[in-house]
Amino acid sequence: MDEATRSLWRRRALFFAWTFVGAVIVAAFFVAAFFTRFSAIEVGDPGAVLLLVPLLTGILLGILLTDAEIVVAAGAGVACATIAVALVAVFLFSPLLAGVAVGSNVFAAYSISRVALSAVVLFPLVVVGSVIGRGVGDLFLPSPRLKQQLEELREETRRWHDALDRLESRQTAGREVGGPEPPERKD
Amino acid sequence: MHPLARILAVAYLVLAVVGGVVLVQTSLNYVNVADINVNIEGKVAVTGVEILWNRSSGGTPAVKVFVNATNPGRIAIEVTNVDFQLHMDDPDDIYPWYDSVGLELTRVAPGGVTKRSGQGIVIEPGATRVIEIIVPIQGPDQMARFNQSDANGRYFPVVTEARFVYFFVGFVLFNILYLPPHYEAEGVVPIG
Repeated sequence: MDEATRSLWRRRALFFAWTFVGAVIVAAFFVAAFFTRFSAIEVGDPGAVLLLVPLLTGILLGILLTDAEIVVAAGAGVACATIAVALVAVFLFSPLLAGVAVGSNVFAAYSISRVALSAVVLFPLVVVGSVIGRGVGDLFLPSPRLKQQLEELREETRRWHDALDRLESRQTAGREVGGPEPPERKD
Repeated sequence: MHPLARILAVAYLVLAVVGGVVLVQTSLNYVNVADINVNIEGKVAVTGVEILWNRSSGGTPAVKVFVNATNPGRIAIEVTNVDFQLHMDDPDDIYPWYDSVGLELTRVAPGGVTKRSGQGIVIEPGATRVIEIIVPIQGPDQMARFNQSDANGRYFPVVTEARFVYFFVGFVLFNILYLPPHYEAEGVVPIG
């Protein structure tokens, strides 16, 4: 495996790791806030936790993916929300998975409605958060690699400008010594 | 990665570790609570009735009801309330003991025990407790309905509408269990 392929896989692994870690945070706080009676921790205001934690986690995820394209950050947000909803579903069906409860229509209706609600709440917040985070990261927290790339791009643009300036000044000097005028374009 | 982004990454990981623990613990709590709620059905019942009555001393009778409760789960429960209606079946009437019209006529008194949350009867996982509830018979009206023995001096108490309320220790979470009616078919001879 060459260095480029290894680097590509490393970036992918990092993308999935950050996404999964974000999903664990989002799912844990959603479950703790929404099912406070079973929760191992006290969350002060469940409404605030339900709204702010997915948004802030999305922002953190976006900041951590500053090196990637903005589409990648948005995709990470979608993946993060999807995994979080899956974890909420695992929590809701855990008595069934553990074999202590038998599936019934009431249980299924209760669990599925909560999973649907978690999807409705989490998707927009995490995706918007990740895009905002990507923008914040780009503006205020660019990585040294990104900074170097930008510097190289600026340097190259400067070189092009210089070359164009030189060409322009050469053409101007040619016209002043009576050289032939460049042919006018027909279009 | 920017130095500040590194700090945020560490915070992100710490939050994820905390979140993971919370998620696992909350899931375990949910499983344990569901386990008890599902499996306690049939593990709690009124198992017997005694009549404490020393007629010669002229004292008033009292009925002792035994409720047997087994905790089938993996977390402790705390019983805070058991209540029921006590009836005394009249062996000479035309109604069977479970007949609703007959039950209205034989209702003696309500009975039960109520404790505050935190001061209730704790049943550890897998343990069984017998809860004894004494119902004193007071007043001529209750006495008239209570004193319905057969020719052998046996009484036939019936316990209906029994309700068993329990909290999960460590949680602000409770459940109510409605127990099946209990009838002393063999009859009960007063003790004392």
